[in-house]
Amino acid sequence: MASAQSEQQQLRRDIFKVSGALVLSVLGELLADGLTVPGTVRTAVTAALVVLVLILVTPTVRRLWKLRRPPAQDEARARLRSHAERAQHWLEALGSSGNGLAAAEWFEQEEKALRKLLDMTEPTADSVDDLARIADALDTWYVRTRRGRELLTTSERLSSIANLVGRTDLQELANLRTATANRLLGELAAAAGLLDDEPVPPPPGQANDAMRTRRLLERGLLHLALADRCRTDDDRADEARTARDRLNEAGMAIPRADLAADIALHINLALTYLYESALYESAPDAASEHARLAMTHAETAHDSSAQAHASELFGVAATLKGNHDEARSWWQEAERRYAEVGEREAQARCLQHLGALAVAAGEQREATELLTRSARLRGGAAGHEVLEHYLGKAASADRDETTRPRRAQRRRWCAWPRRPV
Amino acid sequence: MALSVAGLRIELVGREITGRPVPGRPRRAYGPFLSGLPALALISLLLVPIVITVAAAFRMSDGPGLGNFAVLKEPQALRAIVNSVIWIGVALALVVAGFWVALAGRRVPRLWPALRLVLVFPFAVAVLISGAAFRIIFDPAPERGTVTALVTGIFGESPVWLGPGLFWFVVVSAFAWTWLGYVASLFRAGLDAIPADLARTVEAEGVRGWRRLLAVELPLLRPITGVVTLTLVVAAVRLFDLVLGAVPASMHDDANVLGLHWWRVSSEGEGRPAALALVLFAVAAAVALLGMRGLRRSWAVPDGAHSGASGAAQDVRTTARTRRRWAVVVAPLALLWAMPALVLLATALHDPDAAGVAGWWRAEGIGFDSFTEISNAALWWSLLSTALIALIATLLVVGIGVVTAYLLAWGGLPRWLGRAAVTAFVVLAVAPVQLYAAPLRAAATAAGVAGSPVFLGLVHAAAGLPFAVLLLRAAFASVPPSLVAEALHGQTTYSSAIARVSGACRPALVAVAVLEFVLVWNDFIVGFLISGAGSSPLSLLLWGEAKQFATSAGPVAATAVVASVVPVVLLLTTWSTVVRGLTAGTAP
Repeated sequence: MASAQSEQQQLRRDIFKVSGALVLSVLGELLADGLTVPGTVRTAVTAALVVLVLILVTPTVRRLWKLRRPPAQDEARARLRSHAERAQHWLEALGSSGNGLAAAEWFEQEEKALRKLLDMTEPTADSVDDLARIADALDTWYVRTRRGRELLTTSERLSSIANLVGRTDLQELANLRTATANRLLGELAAAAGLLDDEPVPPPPGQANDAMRTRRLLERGLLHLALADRCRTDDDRADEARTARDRLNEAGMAIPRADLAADIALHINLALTYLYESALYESAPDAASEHARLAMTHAETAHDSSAQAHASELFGVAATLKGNHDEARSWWQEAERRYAEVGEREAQARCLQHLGALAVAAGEQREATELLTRSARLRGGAAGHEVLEHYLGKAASADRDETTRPRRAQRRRWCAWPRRPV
Repeated sequence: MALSVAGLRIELVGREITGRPVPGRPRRAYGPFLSGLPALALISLLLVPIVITVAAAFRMSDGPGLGNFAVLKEPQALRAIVNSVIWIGVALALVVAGFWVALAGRRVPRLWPALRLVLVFPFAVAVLISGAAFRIIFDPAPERGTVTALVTGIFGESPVWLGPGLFWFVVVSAFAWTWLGYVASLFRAGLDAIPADLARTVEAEGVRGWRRLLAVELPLLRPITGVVTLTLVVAAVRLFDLVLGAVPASMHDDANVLGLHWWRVSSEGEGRPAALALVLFAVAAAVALLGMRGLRRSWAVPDGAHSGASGAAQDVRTTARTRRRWAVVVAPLALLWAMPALVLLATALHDPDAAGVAGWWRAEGIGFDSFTEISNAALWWSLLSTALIALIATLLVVGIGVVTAYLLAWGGLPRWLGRAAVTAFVVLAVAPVQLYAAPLRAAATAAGVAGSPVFLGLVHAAAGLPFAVLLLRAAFASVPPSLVAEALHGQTTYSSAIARVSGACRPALVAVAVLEFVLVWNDFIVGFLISGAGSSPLSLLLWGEAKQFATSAGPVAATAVVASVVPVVLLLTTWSTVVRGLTAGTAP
């Protein structure tokens, strides 16, 4: 079947080549004839030939022009560019199945140097794009490691750079990142303030839809965070519904080529549906569907990090269905994938889920081990409320377990005379 | 964020989009845009003639000018304009009357189904037939005319009802007979959809009677009032066949309305009638565009409000005494409304001679002779041809209407284009036939298709499409937007989305199909003004017979009865769904 198809394709290509050659030869003859005719015809044919040569030569000239070396005297700029290119290279590798771990290690080593470069370099119209690329790389790294404070300072620096060179598009990007940083830090009012004002005037360029997508997606995530702070279930449901509406709006604005945005959208929608299912105690079917879509897109993009994220959500859906064994296997897979791409914070989160499951199943020793590993990855449990909660639970259950055998022995001892009866 | 699931606390995070923003435009499917083409093709059947008419209105023998509009200064035209304005007043009064009937209906819950049946019945009957019924009832001869006989019996003599001045009473009655049921049913649906808890709260606060009406019901019913008023005012402005059928030709000068006047001047070249048609259209379009302000709100009928399952406020709790008191008012109204239909039936059940000389209440000449007389090949042929035309038009309108409404509701059109299209559809929905009749007739005659049922079906479909699209669009738009967004985005939730959407939109689809079929079946004006002698829809046959009205009351009534069976059965069996479809998105 496949060979028949390829034969057909080959035949089509051959026909195309032969007909192309025929057309070209006919054209060539026409042009050659035309050159022999004096007067207007010759002028026209000569002009046509010149245009043809220009069309053929221009792309090559442009490519060569782009490849030309930067002037030697501008070494600082060259260094900046080389850093920006490397940062961009590793940014693309971050979370990928091939080089994810190496990328994470590179960022761990280079983060400080990149920060320094971003902070110290004087922005000019020429260097601003390279600085923005470095800011992009740092943004991704800080979001993956959930470091709100660092994200905030980087975004503020990007904002000041954008201000200095008068780039409204970068200013808008910096605003959105500041909002994300504020949300990660729990400063929801500040984040909402930044997201409320629409950019006026709209930033120029081709990325308007991408910016709109990000703004709406960030709003969705903000409403989810707000839902978490509500006191009543009704308020939570309202916020979750608003979040879902914003995410759906974001879905309509995603640029055609933005696979990462597609993945993020489906993961966030799955998250919202899970939240609502937990609230209404309903079946998480819609959440599973979106997680499945996220998984499919992530496989296409070779994005291990997103695959792990989708697996994590599948695990939550399984717990909602009361299927703890299935949840365990999903979270184990998620933990493995996160470990493969060096996302420690997310890996710690999955270990925490697994620890919680073990606590619920009464497997105290295993729970303690899992939760301790989680704490170790996070550099301690402090500030991680859920982890602290489960560590406390596991410890108290552990104490109970060590005292239980003695009580059991005592009971046995008291009960022995009754045994024959 | 943390979830509490089955005793577990699970910490979760969302996923941000990081890095460089990706340039490019969102996915836009061009398929939906193509789905607008059939509608455009069908609508151009109206648009092109409209453009020709507009051009003709401004074309004088010596170049462009406004000279044709001088037709408006003629006394006949002035009379027609004044009469049309009076008809708008009649329409508004009828809206108020219909609202009161709806209120009264809630106080007599047991009588309401029967009352609704009687009130809605005339809506399913062709205007020409209601004109015929009223002519029989108000016949000047006391031995034939019911009212004349009654008044003569009581007072010794009776005025000529279809004479100067009094003919207004007859035509307004016929108009009210046709439309009251529609108005009352829609208002009733709106009243039923007022949420029960709101009604209870208002009652607990002691807000009753007039205050409750002004503070709660009227504001909540504003969208429905808008729709009803719009329909009736446009019907009044476009009035033509009722006056033509119910008023004797000798009275046409006095009863003249804009639509009728157009017909009367249509033989005097093309400029003057075109100018009149344009004025008629301008009035209707202005009314419609004003009404659109009321329609622009996004409404949604609470699901199940009509079935009474949602706990929406149903019949008002009343004491037995109040119910009896209201029954005394409502029961005679029901009898009065049933009367024209009964008169038609009784007249049809007399033989032609007896029906021609004596009233329907006489026992002489009872039989099926009138039916026998009319049951010839022409009747069956016109029944078949009418059914074919109605079927073609309905299929086209439903098929193209759904696709176009989808495009307008969710097709992702740029906002300005969507708004412009909706405005254009609103304006086209009220465009009078006179605006496109003359060029269409000329083109059809030239092409030799004037009498073809397919051509008439196409014209009907084009004329019915704008209303269908608006109705379906409102129904589509009342589906939760998040559901649609999800369906469009993730293919997986399509099946559940389609199930919910079709559940929510089925009434609107039924309403569009039934109303289009019934309106085309009952149509007189399109067939009369556009079709040539080749085609013979039922109403044209009836019109031919009604010309010798005094002598042919029996056959006219028999034809009317035969012609009414299909639309009446269809409309009455589906009425509750039709109302639900009409109010999709208009209830409080």
